[in-house]
Amino acid sequence: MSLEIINLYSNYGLKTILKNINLKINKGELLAIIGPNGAGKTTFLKCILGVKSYKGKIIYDGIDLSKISEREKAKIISYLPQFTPIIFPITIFENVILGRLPYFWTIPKKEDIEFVNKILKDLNLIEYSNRYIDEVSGGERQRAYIARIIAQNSKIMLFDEPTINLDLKYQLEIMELIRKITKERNTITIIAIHEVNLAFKYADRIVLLNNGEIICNGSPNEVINMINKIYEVNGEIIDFNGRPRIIY
Amino acid sequence: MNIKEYGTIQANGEIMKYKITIFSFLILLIFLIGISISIGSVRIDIIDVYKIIIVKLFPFLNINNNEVLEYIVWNLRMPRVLGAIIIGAILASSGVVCQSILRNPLASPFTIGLSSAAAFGASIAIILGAGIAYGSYTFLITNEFFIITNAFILCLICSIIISIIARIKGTNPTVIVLTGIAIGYFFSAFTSILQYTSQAEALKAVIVWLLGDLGLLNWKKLIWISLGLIGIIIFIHMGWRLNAFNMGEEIASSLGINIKKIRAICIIVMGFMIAVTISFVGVIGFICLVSPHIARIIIGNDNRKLIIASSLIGSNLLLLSDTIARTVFSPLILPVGAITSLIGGPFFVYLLIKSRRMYWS
Repeated sequence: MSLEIINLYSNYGLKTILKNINLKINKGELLAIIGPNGAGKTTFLKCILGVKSYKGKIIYDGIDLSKISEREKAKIISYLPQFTPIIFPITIFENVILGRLPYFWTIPKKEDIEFVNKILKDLNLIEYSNRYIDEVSGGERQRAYIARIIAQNSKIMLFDEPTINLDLKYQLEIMELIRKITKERNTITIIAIHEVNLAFKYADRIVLLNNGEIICNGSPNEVINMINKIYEVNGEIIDFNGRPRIIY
Repeated sequence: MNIKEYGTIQANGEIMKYKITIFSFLILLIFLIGISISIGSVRIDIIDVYKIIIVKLFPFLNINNNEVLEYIVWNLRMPRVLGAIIIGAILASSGVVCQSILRNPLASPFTIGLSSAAAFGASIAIILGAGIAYGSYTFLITNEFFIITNAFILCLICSIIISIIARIKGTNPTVIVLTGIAIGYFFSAFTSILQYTSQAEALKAVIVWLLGDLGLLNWKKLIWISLGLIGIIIFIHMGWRLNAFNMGEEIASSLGINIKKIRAICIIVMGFMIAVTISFVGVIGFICLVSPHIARIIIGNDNRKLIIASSLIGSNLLLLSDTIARTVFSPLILPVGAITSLIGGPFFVYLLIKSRRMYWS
């Protein structure tokens, strides 16, 4: 099973944001999308999610994702944006159980609640489950949001800057967690990320976007040589446990 | 302790808090019903009030009652009290839903122009003596039927316009709120022009209608108003979906919510609920805004619980306000809309100051 993106174009008004994107992502693969500001990373994720209009085709397992209902799509795709704009704070438990929303209509089933409690336990959040989401630390909050993504039990997980505003410890912890669930649950995971070294450390494959076009698509070792040119910097490339890093 | 037990204990704590809240407000409501009915030009013992209500609800109990008192309690005072409870619940629950779907703690069905539309409809009937649905009767200055139908139709038209805009601009709640405010000003302008050109007697009638009055309620009207309760049931059914709105449009969409559709449905249902209440009793606005926030401070922001708790708070607040409105300067009856704000405002500010944390960001 794979996600196929064929001839994808998207624009905001007259400005073209994504141009002729063709990509295939396989099950169990963690793909990182990197690129300078305005490269089109977030727009790319929003097109897959279906909240941004596009031309072209996005197909998962033979299903054109633009042709199915929101509810059916929610069983296939889950999404964590850069910033969750909560207006009325809810508890961590209430946040996580929202992940089960595609699977019930009025009241969550007993299995849904048990599933959520298990996820909370696995992510060491069970003690905080009745705490309000704005009362916990940034790292715990991000884990709670990821717990909701896990609860949604989708085949494709989209993360937009999941490590933004987190300290180094939490950045690594969150990336470890995303990689772990990708491999354990065999999902297609796409992360838009600014921190290129995190992408090189954790991603199976990296797509480098610039001005809405794919500049490079390959393993970390294949992509790293383009970084200095696209970001217009002079970083030194080193090897760290078989994976490249760039030092500025 | 295993996970299941831990989760259950946590959940039980929350459920207990919610149950205690609901139970407390129910007890308060029952107490207020007794007080409200017992007070009036004829004083009735509170025990007699409850006895009469029990006999009326359970006729097989065969308890002897004074027929005059029974008539006063059941036919004269009960419709007003029950009306306050139902209308308070309808207004408060629609306030919760309005805030949730528009993701705005300041939103209420009245801030998006529904009351202004209804006021314009009522003004047409009172000042011009014209009915939108049934043509013109220039010789009738205050025809209650026209007031009700005009207010209902214009309120519904306003909600349909906003729901169409919500369908078009579904992902931007601010646009919907601002459009509602603009529509509200538009209708208010017409009402002002009508008031400016009207006779003194008609002008007073419009102002009295705008302040809200539960005195005209009877059992027949209550049946119509009760239709608004269907909206509360629909909203409770949609509780979880409304919770998803809280996370932002993109996340709600990723959770399988059709934002535009749900928003448009909610606005239409809300429009009907507001139309069916304020067309009968006039504009009672503050409850829509304050009851949801009082409920948020007490039980949090889960819409499933919030709709029920807020409805109960709205019922209590309106019944208390109406009781005060007709007793403080008896026999003069003060406008219930004004008393609601007089009681609700300070109580709300007190809760805001006392609350440990903000329940909206």
